[in-house]
Amino acid sequence: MGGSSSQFTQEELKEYQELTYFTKKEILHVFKRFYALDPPSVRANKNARLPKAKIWTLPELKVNPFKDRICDVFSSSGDGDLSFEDFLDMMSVFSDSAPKNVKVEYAFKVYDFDSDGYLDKTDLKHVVDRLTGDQKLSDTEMEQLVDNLFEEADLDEDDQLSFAEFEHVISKAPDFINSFRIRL
Amino acid sequence: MVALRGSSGKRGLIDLTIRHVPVRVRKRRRLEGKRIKGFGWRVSMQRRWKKSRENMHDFFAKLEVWRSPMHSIEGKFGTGILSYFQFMRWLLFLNLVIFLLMFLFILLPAVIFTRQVGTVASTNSTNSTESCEDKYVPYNVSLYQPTDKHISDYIVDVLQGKGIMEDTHLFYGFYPNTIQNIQETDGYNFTYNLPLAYLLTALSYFLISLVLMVRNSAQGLQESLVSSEDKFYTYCNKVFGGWDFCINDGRAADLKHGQIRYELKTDLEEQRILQKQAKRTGGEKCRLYTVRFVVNIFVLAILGAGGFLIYYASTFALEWTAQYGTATDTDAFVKLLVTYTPSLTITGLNMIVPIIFDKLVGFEDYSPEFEIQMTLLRTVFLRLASVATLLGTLYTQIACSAYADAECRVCDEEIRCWETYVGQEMYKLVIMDFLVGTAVTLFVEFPRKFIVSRFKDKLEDVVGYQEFQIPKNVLDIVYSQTLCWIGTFFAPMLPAICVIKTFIFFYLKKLSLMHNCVPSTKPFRASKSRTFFMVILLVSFLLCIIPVGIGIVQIYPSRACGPFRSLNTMFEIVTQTIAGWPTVVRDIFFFLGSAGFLVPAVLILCLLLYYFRALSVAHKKMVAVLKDQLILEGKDKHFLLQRVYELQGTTDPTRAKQNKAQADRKAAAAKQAPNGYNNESPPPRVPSSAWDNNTSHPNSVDDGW
Repeated sequence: MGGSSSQFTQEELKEYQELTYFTKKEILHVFKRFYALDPPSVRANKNARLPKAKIWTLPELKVNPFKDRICDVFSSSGDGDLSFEDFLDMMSVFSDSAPKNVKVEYAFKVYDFDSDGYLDKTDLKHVVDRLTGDQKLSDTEMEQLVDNLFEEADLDEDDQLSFAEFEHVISKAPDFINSFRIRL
Repeated sequence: MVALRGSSGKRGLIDLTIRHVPVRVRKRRRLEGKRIKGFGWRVSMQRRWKKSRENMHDFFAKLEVWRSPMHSIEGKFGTGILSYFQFMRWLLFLNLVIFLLMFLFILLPAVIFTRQVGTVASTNSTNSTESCEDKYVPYNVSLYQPTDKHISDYIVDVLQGKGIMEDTHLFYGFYPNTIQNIQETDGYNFTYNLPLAYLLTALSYFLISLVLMVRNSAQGLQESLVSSEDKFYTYCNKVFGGWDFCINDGRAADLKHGQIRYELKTDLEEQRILQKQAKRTGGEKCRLYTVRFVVNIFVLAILGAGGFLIYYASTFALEWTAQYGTATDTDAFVKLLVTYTPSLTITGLNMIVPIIFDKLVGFEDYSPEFEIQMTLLRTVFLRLASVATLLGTLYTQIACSAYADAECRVCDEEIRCWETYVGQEMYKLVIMDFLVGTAVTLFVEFPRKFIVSRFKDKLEDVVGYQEFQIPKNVLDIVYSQTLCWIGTFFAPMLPAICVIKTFIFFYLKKLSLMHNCVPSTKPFRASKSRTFFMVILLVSFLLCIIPVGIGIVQIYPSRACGPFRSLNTMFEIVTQTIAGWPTVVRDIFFFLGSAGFLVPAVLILCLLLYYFRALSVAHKKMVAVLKDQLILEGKDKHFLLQRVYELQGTTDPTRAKQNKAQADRKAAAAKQAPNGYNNESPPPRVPSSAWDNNTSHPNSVDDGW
């Protein structure tokens, strides 16, 4: 990728730098990773929209249980396909420098499977099922777990988590900020 | 944008605020016009610093020994069993440190400094040690001529630490009581007082072990306190922060899945047990307490019987050796067997009794964590009792009122160098422990797995796959560490053997765990067990100090061997050295040892202790207050939401959801009111709260930066 720096003008780089949490060098690195996902199409058009199947070949996403949700959330076309800007956006949110509130925002969207603005019981079950992998929890365990989650986080006791509630509980969860990131 | 600037402007990071807006790059580009130039350089420096720190961390993490085996263990069996292996690793390093100490300050000088420039002798004893040295002939060398020694004799020698092994650097007896100099360099005037070095090194290895243990257990205590403190949001933390998005490898992902599943199950199981306990009726409680009482009586009986058995075995071995040991017609194998009787008894008891205890504790219906701690506590008494009995028997052999040879202060003609003898006993136990541990793993655990998996349908219910028993295994290593601590003083190179042993055991145990064991049906947590392991280790450490302390301060050193042969006690070397110093220094030291200093010192320590206790109580109170505050805050929020909801006054269920979204937004807005929150731009795509809440929680901004 000797020509990667020539893919962008200095203005473009500067602009991206101001819009994301990345330095110029990191932006070029992000592009390198984007390019590696599908060299022919990106060579033809650097703003090519890569299908999600291609995006999923990114090692971090390949094994991520929420890969489809992540792509859906960051896709500007809404179908899970990502352009370079979408990709940059995603990497920026997952970067170390992104502040917690931004990460929380996107985490909420990722976990909100039906995109209705609430994490309800089915959303939570989806999340847990994907976390535990092939061997799922038993039904009673799942019920118990969901009850516990609601008890901790559902302040207004309506059996679903609004964003405010989610944010409140995440602000008390020490692991989140360290785990919700992808190293460049 | 006003809102955004308001929220973080005071930190001087205004130019970054645009990035905080959780919308896409394109959208942000439009907003960007209003950007104000800021402090990019500082931010990038901060970021670079953070990154380089992380790289350092990664680098050191890679250096960690057994990182990947640990990961696979954690993934498959959870943190409880992981903590056992971590404990093992910690002990390996401890032994390595002890070994290095002994190597650098005892073995190396003894090898390098070969020119004798003086001997250490007691000031008030005129007796020469030479006649005693002549009488001490390292075990049976005269009986065997090198030509008629068979391989089997050598093996017996190695197993017993006798014969060819006895007069080596391995044991205390080999080391001279001389002040030495390097042969080659005549002009160089550096002398090495080996006896003094021997004693000081021994003291320092005990001290270092103690410091390391205390530090480690304090750390563990902190961790377990913290983890028990934030019981508030454990489940949310585990579910929403559970997946590590950095994982980019299929194997690691599988492990992470397993780990999350295991942790969740543990938590849920624990909760269920607590609920069950809370539901117990009076009658059930009564019955349970009776059962527990009976079990405890039973346990005590077993412990007593075990202690007696060990005592009996060791006296038997002694008497037998006294009677037939010297006869030439006794078979070497029988002899070996008899000398090993006490060790065999101890090892046998240690194998059987924990299994009984393990079954017994099942009746008592404790939580899994407590069950393990209970079994550990009980068995540790057995272990320590066995070691104590052994040491007691040894003591009766070494210290007596009627000497067999008064000039050399020998009680038993057979034991002319008692320090080496004790060293040999410890050495034998270590070797025995190693052999038995290996044998059990290879010839019991592996065949068992093989047989069970072969005749699956018939045997699975009867025998079943085995679970990894943490109490038993922890005790094994604590026991072996006890032997190592005591033995190191009398056999300075024993730590090397312990290091090798621990190293091999790690892989053996891991292999057995991975191949033979199934994950425990009753999962339990590690946070507290680590501290508990350390406490057990500390208890056994205290047991080790006593015999070694008695050996140093009270018992006459052998006159035939070792660095203290001409002294009345081993400690005399210290008083002698201090006596040789200038009067001022000497007086200071004597003052430090006097009651005039010690009594005030103890008093001050007590005061300090009381002060820190008071401090910790105050902190605890503070924590309770803060916790209440936190709950109140949550309730406030709840109340606020409720109010907004009521004001909306909806009855239509389809609209209720929408209204609640607004209510949430308003609640957040109310919080942000001083920031001049401004809701003019429409939410980009997700209609709910995403846009409006971009900087809603003040905490989140603080945490992020």
